Amino acid sequence: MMFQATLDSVAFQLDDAQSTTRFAIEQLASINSLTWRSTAGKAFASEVSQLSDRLIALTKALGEAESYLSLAIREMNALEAQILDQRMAS
Amino acid sequence: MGYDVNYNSLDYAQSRQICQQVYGQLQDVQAQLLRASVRAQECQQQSQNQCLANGIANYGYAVGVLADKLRTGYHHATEAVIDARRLEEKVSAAIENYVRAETRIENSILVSGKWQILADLWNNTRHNDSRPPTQDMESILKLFVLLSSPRDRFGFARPQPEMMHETTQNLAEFIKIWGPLRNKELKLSDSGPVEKIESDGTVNTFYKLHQVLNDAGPEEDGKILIAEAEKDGKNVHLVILPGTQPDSDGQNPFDTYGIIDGFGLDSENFAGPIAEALKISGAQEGDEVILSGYSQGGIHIANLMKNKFLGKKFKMKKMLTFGSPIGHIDLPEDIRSLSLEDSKDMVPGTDGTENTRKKDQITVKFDGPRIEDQLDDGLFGKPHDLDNYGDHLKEMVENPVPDLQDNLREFAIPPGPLTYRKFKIERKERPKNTKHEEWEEEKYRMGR
Repeated sequence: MMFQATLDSVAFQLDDAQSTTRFAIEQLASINSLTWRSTAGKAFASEVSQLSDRLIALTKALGEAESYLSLAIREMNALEAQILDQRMAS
Repeated sequence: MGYDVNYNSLDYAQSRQICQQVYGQLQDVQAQLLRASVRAQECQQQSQNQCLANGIANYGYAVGVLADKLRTGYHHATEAVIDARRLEEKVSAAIENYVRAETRIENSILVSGKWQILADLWNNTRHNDSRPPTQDMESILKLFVLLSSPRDRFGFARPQPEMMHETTQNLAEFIKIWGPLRNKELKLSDSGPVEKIESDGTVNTFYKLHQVLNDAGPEEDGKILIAEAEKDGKNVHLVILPGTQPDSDGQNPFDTYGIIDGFGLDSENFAGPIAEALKISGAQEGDEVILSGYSQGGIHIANLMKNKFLGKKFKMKKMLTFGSPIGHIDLPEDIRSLSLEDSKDMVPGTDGTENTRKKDQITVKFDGPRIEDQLDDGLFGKPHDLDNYGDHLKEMVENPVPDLQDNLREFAIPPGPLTYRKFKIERKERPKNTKHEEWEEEKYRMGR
């Protein structure tokens, strides 16, 4: 149960981080919809796009972490069950 | 990043706001991922300890990988935070560059055109009953402040409205601290009986209420008026503040010294007595209050629209001014204001700044009085007479411009009888031996 609670809090933080990152990507997209005609303005818009790309990479990394989270939960459940069985047997 | 030649202040401001928000959000993400990876690592460690203690084959591979992935995410987030911060700094620098460049150009235009400004001032004042019209008043004050401020002329120039506001505020604060009335505070001293007046169903009712105060004579100086109306089934309280009453004994808060309160104290000393008068009038917390001021009264009400004490007690979202210099007061976006200015009136220009126009904050300018022969000359000339502004208001109601329809409707008071009361506010000696008093005395002594 102890592992379960720890991983639940990890899951909560991961979920929160994912939704905040997605929201940040949406907000950055609205900068690109503004008018940037000069070289300086275009360079700024391009840097905003680069940040967006970095955040997309971050969401991918978080997606991978999410898939390992479910594996970790299963793994810890199995461990807890085994410890419980041993205690019952003794 | 310099600033875009196609600079659009709204786009830049929006970009800066977004970058600031994204920066804050990414900092949150960074902290969450750090916490999550630490928790996952702890979980892996504890599982390994449990395995060891119970003689079980090693578990914790997936948790270990999870911790690694979260750490990778944390590193991505850290780099993104740095990028977002850099973008925010760049766009802020671009805005600053633009403002500085524009200010330098505005200042150089002002200085290079000084002889023209003086010639215009001379000519226009000659043809305006020896009083400078609004725009000339603003220009000459701006020029005077700019020429007397080496910092703005040769160094780090402030935007002109900021330069004017800070100069008048510093001057007002200086007079406030060293002036003879520094130990006085405003108190509500008297409340009159309930009286009635007829509303014609339009915004003209505000002028009628101002007229009640204005026509009362010097024995009623220092009084404000609070009327109660019912609009859309809800109680609305109208607070009316008069203009400058120069011939006073030092106790009248609307004397020339009152202008110092408006420029130097943000009229904060008016908030208490007005809240008390509203309470006596029967205003409940949360009731709507519409403020209206003529001349100096307009400065006070524009300041009070930002007053936190009054804003917490009442719903204050609308204000109406007649011939008031309020260009230096930056009202929040959600305030609806209607300001009337006569271009031949010098008073609205005495803060050296034009009123800012926002979505619901409109200044209507008129090209001089229509009824000059019926107006009083007074201290500031016929264009500043309250009756002139009453006539302009009437003109607006009779020939409404489409852009103003919303405002005229919002400020219209339903037809029928209105009740009102007058309240006297006086400057009184602040009680002695308070900490504030000691502090003020000490400051005064040190200064001498």
